[in-house]
Amino acid sequence: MNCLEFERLLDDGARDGLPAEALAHAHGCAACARSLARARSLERALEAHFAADVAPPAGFVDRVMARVERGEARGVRWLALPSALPWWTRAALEPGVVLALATLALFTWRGGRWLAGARVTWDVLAHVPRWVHDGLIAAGFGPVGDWTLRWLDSIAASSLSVQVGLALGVAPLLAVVAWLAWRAGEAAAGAT
Amino acid sequence: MADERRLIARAQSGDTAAFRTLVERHQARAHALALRILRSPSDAEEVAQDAFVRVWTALPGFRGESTFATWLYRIVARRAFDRAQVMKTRRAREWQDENLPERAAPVNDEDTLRAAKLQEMIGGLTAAQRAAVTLYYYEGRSVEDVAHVLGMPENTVKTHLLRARAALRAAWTHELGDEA
Repeated sequence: MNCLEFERLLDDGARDGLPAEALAHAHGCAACARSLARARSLERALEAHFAADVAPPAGFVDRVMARVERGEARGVRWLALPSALPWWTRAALEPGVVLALATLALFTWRGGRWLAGARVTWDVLAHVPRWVHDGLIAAGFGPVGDWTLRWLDSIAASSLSVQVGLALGVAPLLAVVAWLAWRAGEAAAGAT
Repeated sequence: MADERRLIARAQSGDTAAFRTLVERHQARAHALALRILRSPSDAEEVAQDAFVRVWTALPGFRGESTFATWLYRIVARRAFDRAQVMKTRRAREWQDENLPERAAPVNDEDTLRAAKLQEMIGGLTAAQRAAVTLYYYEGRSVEDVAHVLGMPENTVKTHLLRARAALRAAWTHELGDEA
């Protein structure tokens, strides 16, 4: 074994002790013996450092339990469902499932009114491309306004499958943009 | 161990008293891990709290494939890494040495100085290196366990440990001078 190999062994930090070959080398090499003594001194210091108790702040458990009790976690906590129940029973009582079923029931009961409301909403949304166009023209972006209007009109005139495809394609993009904006906001908040 | 399994089962079915006992048992180490990684008492408490709340949320899905402690530490470590990323941009360190808990009784001024120096040296490591060193020394875990807790390949953990040790050894040698 040479000094370089010995140094590598020290960096590897053989926790269960160095092999006999390494110890024999250190015995005959003053520089490596000094390195070994320093490495052992560092190991002892680290062990002492990490062996020390780091008491959590007073009231830590109470603060955690207060958050748990506030229902900050576990969506079905309000029902305190025992895990022994069959999965389909628990699934049927999940808030999301309950909400979906309630929505379906309401739609069945008052579906006509909902559709009428949707029609009004759609009529309003149908004016959006024209508003965007007019806004862009007013702001001095005439060619961009014309192009945007043509683009929005072509989407509106396209088949349902194309519209659904575009929505599915744009949704993840919007999600990524929103996530990036959130990260940037968090980084900016962290920097202040 | 069997007692802990019973507590986990009760907590899974919504028993908050059982969960409280689990928090009491594991709070010190979870908080210590967060503190060792983040070096900021306020951030460490927040991360440890978040981790326990997350554990409560995810407890019904806990299948016991790893021990409860390993699972908890993994959540703590990940949250601490995320927080460390945010803190990295913050630069201003909240850490002050007086915030440090009592350490293993230094016997004289020189030991006190060395302990402070060691603290400073550990602070110079990256969050991942600190986490690896903490779990390896403080928890006495194997490289395989550390990799499992941190969700990293074993070789990555070995690299973190190797670099951390090399950096600590260099700084320690410098600190000791011709002594030793």
